[in-house]
Amino acid sequence: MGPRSLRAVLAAALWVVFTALAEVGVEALIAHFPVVASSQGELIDETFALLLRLTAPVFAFVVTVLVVSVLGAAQARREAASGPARYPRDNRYFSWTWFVVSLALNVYFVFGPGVTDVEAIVLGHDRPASGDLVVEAQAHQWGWDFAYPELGITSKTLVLPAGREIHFVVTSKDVIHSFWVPAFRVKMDAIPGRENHLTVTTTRVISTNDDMTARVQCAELCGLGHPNMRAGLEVLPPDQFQAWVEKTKSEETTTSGGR
Amino acid sequence: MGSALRGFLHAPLLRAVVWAAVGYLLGAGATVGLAGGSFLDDLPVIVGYAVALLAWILGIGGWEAFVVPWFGGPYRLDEGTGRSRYFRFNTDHKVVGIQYLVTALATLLLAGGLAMLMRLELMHPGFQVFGGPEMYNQVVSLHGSLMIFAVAAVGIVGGFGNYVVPIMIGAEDMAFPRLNAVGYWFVPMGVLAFLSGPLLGGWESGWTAYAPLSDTDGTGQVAAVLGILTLGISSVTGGINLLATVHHMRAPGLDWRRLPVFVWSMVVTAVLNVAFVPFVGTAMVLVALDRVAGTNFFTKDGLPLVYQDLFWIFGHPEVYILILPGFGIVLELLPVFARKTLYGYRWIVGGLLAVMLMSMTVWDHHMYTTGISNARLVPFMTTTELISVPTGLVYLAALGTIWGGRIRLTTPMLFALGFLFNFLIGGLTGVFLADVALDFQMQDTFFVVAHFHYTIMGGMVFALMAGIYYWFPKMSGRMYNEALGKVHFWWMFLAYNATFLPMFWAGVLGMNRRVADYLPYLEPVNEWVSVAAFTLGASFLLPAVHLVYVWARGPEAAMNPWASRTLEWTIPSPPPKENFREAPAIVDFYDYDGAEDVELPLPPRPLPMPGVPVPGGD
Repeated sequence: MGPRSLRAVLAAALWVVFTALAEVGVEALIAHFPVVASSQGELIDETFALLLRLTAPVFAFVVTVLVVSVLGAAQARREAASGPARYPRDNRYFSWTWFVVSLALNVYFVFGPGVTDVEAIVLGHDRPASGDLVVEAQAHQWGWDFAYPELGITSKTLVLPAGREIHFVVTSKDVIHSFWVPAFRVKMDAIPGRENHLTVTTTRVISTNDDMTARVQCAELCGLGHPNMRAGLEVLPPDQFQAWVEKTKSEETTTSGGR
Repeated sequence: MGSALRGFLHAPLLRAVVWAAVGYLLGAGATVGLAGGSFLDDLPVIVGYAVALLAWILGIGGWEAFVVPWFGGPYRLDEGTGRSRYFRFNTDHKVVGIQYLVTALATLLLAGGLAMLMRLELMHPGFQVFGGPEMYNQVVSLHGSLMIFAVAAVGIVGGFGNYVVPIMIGAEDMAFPRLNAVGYWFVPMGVLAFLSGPLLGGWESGWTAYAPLSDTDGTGQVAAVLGILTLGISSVTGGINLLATVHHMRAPGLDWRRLPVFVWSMVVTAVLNVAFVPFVGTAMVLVALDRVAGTNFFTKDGLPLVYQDLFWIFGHPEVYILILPGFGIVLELLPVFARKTLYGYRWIVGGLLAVMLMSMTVWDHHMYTTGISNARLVPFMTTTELISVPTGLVYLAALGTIWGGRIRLTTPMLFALGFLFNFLIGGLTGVFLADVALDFQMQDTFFVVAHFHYTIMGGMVFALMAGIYYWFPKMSGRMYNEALGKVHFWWMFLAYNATFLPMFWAGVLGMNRRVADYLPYLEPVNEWVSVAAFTLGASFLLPAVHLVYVWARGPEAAMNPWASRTLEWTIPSPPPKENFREAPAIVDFYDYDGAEDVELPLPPRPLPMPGVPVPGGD
């Protein structure tokens, strides 16, 4: 085996090792993803994990070539010293393989997870479906107001039932804000003069008090109060949610009756 | 005594400052006189600045260079000699290049210092440094605006684009030397405009200046608008000039198929500059009109999202304006330091052209979460994912070139390899952000912050450093210290990755961007990032001292210390005013077949240049 093919074999072996190491790291990251509390979020985490797993070998390949080339420089010098070097200006098999593989990977990224997720998360959700709980999330400098038009109540904290499709109508009174719940993995900008729509299917009981990623956070720079433009989030079991609705209704009646 | 004072007053820089100050007072004063209000309102600032900018350009030499000869007067422009050339209206592309480069580097240090303040504030939750979000938002805005518009868009394009490109193509200067000279002098005024923002009450909408926030925040926003417009003028004139230069002034025999890859990268960058900077100019003018004339283009009664479309139609080609020159520098250096023929020249040129074209079609990936029509989502996701194919061709060529190469790990080569590592992470995470669903989570988090710093700082700034060390002996005639250069690289490379890699994770954990305060559960990662960032910031002090010192006192450099084959290395260091005394011989610049192995850098005056076949064979 000549030194050149030896280099290729070594590189192939190293690529396998680096890919394995990268995949181990990737799996460790995936295991430490923060808690997810919506079915949309589960889908997004899956896509995140898939892309991490698929890009790890690409990363490992480039790093392998960098390492092997640098460490093999002395050997390359010895090879070149034995006769006038001739270097390829192109290796059509390598180049076309590279081109086709990178094209195929990217086409897969689009028409695999990309389009599937858009269909699941976005398409058809620009108006509430029957059975959705509608919540109007209105942003202002600097805070959130939540209204439940079907239930006739409002709240400063976002309270939701678990295991239900929630349809958010996101609006703004002044500048652009963004409605984001990290634990749901989705955000939607609140833009003055328009209604934006976002559907979230809650999957578990969760509270800001227990997990800080379960919070409503403004994600678009909106001025001085931006960093702390947050609201609490409570995802309750359906019966407790119903109890909260009743309690809030009676309180609102009492306060408005007292005026 | 009297003549010395007169000479001082006639020194162009001083005259420009005086004229600009007087112009500002006249413009702003007249506006206040006619329209009322205060000197610090939007309209007086705009009018005052416009007059000041004109007066500044005339004062620095525009009067002698343009106005007097236009009206039939004599062309008597004193371009200065020695160091004073750099403080004057000077038409030598090499002087202009160094003007751009030094200005960009000084701004880099300044805006980097602002980043240090930001990291100090973010080290712990609560408000430590700025006592509240107001100052922090201004510092974020200033850091971003300066870094994008006055460093990243200017450093390589203005610096090496002007200094190196004409020499690389065998020309004696740019096609329009006076346009080149005047183009530079917009830059200091643009930087000053940004810096005046905090004095005018600041602006807090970031470098993206999203409306309607930018319609309503302080008068400092006007400073940002004027800064962007001013630097934009420089970018457009520079782009026109570069295209004309490469098209018309190539040495005989240097056809497009032999053009150095760095020149190719500058050509595609120039096309993007000329075509797309006007879009951000339009957006800025409309924001200014909203503010002073109540036009409601982007207010809540207008169309706020149209601002974002205009901004990103510019903004996404812009990020390629920042990185394409970096690709050019790295691909230029790899064959030299691998002592190996460049791999895949045609793939590179095809890749650069494809990136240029596709960069015009991806802008809405900044707007997935704005509630844009569903009809936009999949098309923009497709173009955004696919642009990594031509970008990947740069890696194809880079890896093909270093594979089996006789690599010499000099400082420029280390930075070039560091670029390949960093930009790889930046590029791959771009694949994640191109995905619509994933972007619903990642948009406006530190994942995005880490991603674009990996492309711009890990990419563009590392390429800039590679270029600085590579061309330093050519520009100064002196050699830097290799050991200090290598310390700089390893310090910066390690600190860089220690700073920005954890930021991806901060984003995953739920850290949103542009915040002066955050929840306590995010403290550990932020503390780590801050400490690493201070280490990174400190790494810039070493080259700042080192390079200034060796520019003045360093040992003499060889004419061609890298045994490189491109044309700038065939002339003395620093090059004479006219660059070439005779028509340069055009060879295959990247042919290292049969080249002898040499230790780099070569000592001064190696006779003859070892190992490289005599030019002229092809």
